[in-house]
Amino acid sequence: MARSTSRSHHGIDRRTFLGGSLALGGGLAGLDLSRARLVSAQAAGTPKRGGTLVAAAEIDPIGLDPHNSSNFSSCQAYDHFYESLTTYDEKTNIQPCLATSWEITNGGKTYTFKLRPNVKFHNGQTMTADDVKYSIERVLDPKTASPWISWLKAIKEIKVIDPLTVQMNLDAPYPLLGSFAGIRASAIIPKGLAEQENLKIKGIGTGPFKLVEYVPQDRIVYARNPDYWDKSLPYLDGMVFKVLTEENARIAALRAGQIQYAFFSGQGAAQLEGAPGISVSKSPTAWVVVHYINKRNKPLSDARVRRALRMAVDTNEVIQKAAFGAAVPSGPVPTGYGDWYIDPKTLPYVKADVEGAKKLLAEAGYPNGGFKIEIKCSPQYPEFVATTLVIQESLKKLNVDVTVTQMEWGAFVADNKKSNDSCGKEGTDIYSSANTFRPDPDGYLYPYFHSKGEINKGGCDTPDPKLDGLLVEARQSSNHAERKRLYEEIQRLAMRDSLDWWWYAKYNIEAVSSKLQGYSQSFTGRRLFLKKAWLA
Amino acid sequence: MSEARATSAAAALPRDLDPARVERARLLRTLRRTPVALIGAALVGLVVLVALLAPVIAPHAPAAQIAKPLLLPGGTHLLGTDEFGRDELSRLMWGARVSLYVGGLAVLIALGLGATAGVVAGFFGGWTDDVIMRVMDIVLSLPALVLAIAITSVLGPTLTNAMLAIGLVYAPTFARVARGPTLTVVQVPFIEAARSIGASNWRIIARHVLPNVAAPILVQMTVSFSTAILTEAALSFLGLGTQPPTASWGLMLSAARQYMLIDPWIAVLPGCAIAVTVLGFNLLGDGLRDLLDPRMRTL
Amino acid sequence: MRYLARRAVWTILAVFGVSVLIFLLVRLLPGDIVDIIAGTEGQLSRQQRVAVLREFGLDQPLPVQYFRWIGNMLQGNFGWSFRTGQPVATLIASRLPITIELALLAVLSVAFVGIPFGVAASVSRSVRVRTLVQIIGVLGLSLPNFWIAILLIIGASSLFGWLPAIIYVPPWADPWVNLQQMFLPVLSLGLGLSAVVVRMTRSSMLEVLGQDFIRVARAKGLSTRAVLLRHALRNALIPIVTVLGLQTGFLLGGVVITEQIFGLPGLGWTLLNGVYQRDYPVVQGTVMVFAVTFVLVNLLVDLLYTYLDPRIRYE
Repeated sequence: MARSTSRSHHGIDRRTFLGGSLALGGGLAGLDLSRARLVSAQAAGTPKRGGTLVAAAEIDPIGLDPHNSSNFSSCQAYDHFYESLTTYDEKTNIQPCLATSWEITNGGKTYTFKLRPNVKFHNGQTMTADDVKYSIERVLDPKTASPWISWLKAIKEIKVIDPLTVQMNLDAPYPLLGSFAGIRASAIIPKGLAEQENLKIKGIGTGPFKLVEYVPQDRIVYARNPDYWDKSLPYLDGMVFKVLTEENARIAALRAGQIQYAFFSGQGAAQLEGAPGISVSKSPTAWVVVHYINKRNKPLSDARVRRALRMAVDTNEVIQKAAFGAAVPSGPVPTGYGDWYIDPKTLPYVKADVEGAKKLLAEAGYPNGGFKIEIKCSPQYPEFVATTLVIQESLKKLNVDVTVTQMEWGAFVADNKKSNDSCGKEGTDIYSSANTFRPDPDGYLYPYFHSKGEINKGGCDTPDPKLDGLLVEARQSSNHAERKRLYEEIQRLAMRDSLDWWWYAKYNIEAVSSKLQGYSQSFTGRRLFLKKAWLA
Repeated sequence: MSEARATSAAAALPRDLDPARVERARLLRTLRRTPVALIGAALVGLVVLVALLAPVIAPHAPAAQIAKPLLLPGGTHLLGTDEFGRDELSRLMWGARVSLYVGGLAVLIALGLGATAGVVAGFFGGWTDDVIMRVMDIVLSLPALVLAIAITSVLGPTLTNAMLAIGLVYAPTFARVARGPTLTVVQVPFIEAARSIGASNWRIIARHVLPNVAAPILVQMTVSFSTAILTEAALSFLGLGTQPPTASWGLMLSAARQYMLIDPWIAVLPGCAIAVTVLGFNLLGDGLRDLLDPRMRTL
Repeated sequence: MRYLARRAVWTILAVFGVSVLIFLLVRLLPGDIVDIIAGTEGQLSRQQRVAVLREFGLDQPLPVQYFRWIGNMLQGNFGWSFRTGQPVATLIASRLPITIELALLAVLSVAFVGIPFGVAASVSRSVRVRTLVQIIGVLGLSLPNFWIAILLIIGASSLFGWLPAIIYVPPWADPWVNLQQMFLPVLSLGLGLSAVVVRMTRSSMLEVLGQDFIRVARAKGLSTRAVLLRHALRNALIPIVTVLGLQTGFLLGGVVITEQIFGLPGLGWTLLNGVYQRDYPVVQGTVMVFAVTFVLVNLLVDLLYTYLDPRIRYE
């Protein structure tokens, strides 16, 4: 039993505990792509129908209920059979899905969706406005315990206008479309389904594939949906995702031709280099490694101290050691997210500035460092531990002593929660984690930095009126350019004061056998485009 | 068969009349005749020495990220560097301390609790036996992982606490291994004789039971020592054992997993360190077993 | 018979003890199912939290939870998994055969390889044979399970371009494919395990061979083979059987890594995930199954003692 505890069992999600997906607006414009082979749509050949894809799932999805699963792995699994009102295209622009068009009126407080006609659920039922109302209300019901309720909670009322028209009234303006494209928390299921089926292992949606069978910790089997509303799709007859949490096993299975698709870390990708018949695609994804700082206690309550410490760490060194180079520096909004992110070239503190840091520390009253901080991290995610170790080593130059404490994931989450719930009175100084998808840039900023934000650590008691004002203004504006300007200002403020420490946006690395054609990556990290892939 | 068993029972008891002197002479003689034990002792001695002298002889601080990551052996860093650019040789040297501590602690706890319980259970039998062995069954049924998480979350996530859990989990094995031979010994008529001339239970245990239990226990100790070192790796990965950036062989080995094909060295080197240590302890264990076993001199 | 009856009573007490301990232990782990659902990014309101706790009956006082669980279990109802909503009994029933197959194959291969090797090491006058066995034994002991498993899987795929089908096939569906799938996992488990058995065998064989009755048997003119097998090995088996028995127990819970690396959906991995996810019913149910198995295996071992050495008698 003892040996059972080795590093391979990520009981929870390796790629992430949570996070939906998203990104609005302008695709990947402006991103420095020189380091990565981007979105390699292997456009060779013409699509061919038939065949079953055998793929590896890097983690067992923990439950398939689209309305209350917290894990990204769950989203990866139900993405193929559930859909929502909107979706993303390859450039992460919001596109019609179950809704063909929408109208935003009443100063951003009323959304009216026109539904796609003749969409069939996998049980043969036709999708109507009643199903939409039922599904979204299920998310809003506290009994459902959806961790993503905050994405939709602005909705006060859902009205069925006619079988193909739904109206949603909000209590305040909120950018809602992304919440639907983000699918987590917003999948449309047949009315009454949750009362009839165990949605944790079964599912009936409108997606390109039907769920045939889910055997926890073993496999998920899908079959082609012959009645899919996009008549030309999907090309595959079916898919099997086998749970292989051990990366070396995925490498081996891909090499031996037993699977045609798998997800990898930077290290894993390096081990596949030069393997014949396998192509590896990399592109930035919404996964920002971040150290959450408890700003309640001295010395971290002083912005100069936080900034000084951040300045002493070299971001590229972190990327090299934690992600094996497969990442780009990032601010709070992940690099590559629509046009909301800050160009990595203009990000502050990318290069270490030890002298500057020393000066700043002296200004703050710590001329020779001489204090101690604790950082907690979970070895569930080796890259978090690695990032923390680089910080620890770098801060030695400032004579700042960092204690690294590792915790089993469940214990870590509980500790982190305790710190949040107590406004930083309990728990430790810094937690190492990552932020994944948010339906809107707001999701990376408001919950963390507004004094009423749900995840505000240790700042609850001391509101920053300027930041609060900007965050509210950005949330309520419906002018894209205006919001872009506001979010840039907020991000720069947050980084200047090092409210948290952001390090990098990781690459999404997917390897496919040359037999699998036509697959392209999504910034969301989701496998949205397997429906457009085929086996040659 | 019957005469065989009778003699076997008699042979199970030490026959020395003048223990001290005979013993010493025999030890020396056997030691010279069993190079295995000597080699084992030398290897263990080497590891212990390295562990003790690590602060003096290690060329660099074990946690210092001083060079490029994943340098190959040779050059300024004799054994290369790991994924953080830390000197591999220095980490191996410092890692010896953790491994010895871990193995020693777990085995001592398991031995103290388990072997004692096993001998007592086997010797007294009856209700004592039932109670002790059923408690051991209970302990054995609890998953080590759950125990380790529970103990470290109550007492704090330190290596010592994690090994406490592991020692506890190993104890039933020791109990069972010690109980078997004890059962055999107490059935022998000689024990009755010893009792009748007024030898106390403890004296009988010390003089007659322990020598017979020693051999399997020694083997079990060396086995457990090895598994404890490996278990430490597993626990550390979960955040229950060694806290980074402390160097430990187990942790080094499990971290190297991500680099199997990129830089096999960082996976091979700690593996070799563990192998050498385990080999040393096992050879020493075998040698000691031969030395301690009164019948071995006839072989 | 009286012994068996007494043993049965104790066994029930022990299993009861395990049930209390594991029930308390899982609740001692920091964090619960609600924390796991929310993760570090999501948020659950107090209202939502209460709803989840109520759904799983975790809002009840501990004694109520415990007796409800035990009561149900006595009626064959192990409860439902928090994470999948499946009955725990069904889950265990579908996982246990895989783990048993793995453990059994490993123990069998170990017994058939480890014991002969150990015997060879104990009787051989050849230094080479002895050294070889010793090295194999030490290698098996000094390489961690997961390391051997990864080496095997990487080696098989990059050297031979071979790997069996990755979706598990039960032996009754296709024995040949099943055997291929079990080959590497059993090998990786067997290496470490046979090391233990080889050493135990060697050690106790040496002990027995040193005894007078062996010389008597030889003097009687028995063949070496008969001496070794009928007299020596039989007497040496006690500690070997003890260790094998213990290892069977360990194997049931200890194949986690192997199961996980090779993607075998067995019970060890189920338990581990249950722990990570604070899925109390799964952890409790699985541990109870393990506990009963341990106790039974140990009982079997104790009974084997009396068979192997008639001097040992339980009153």
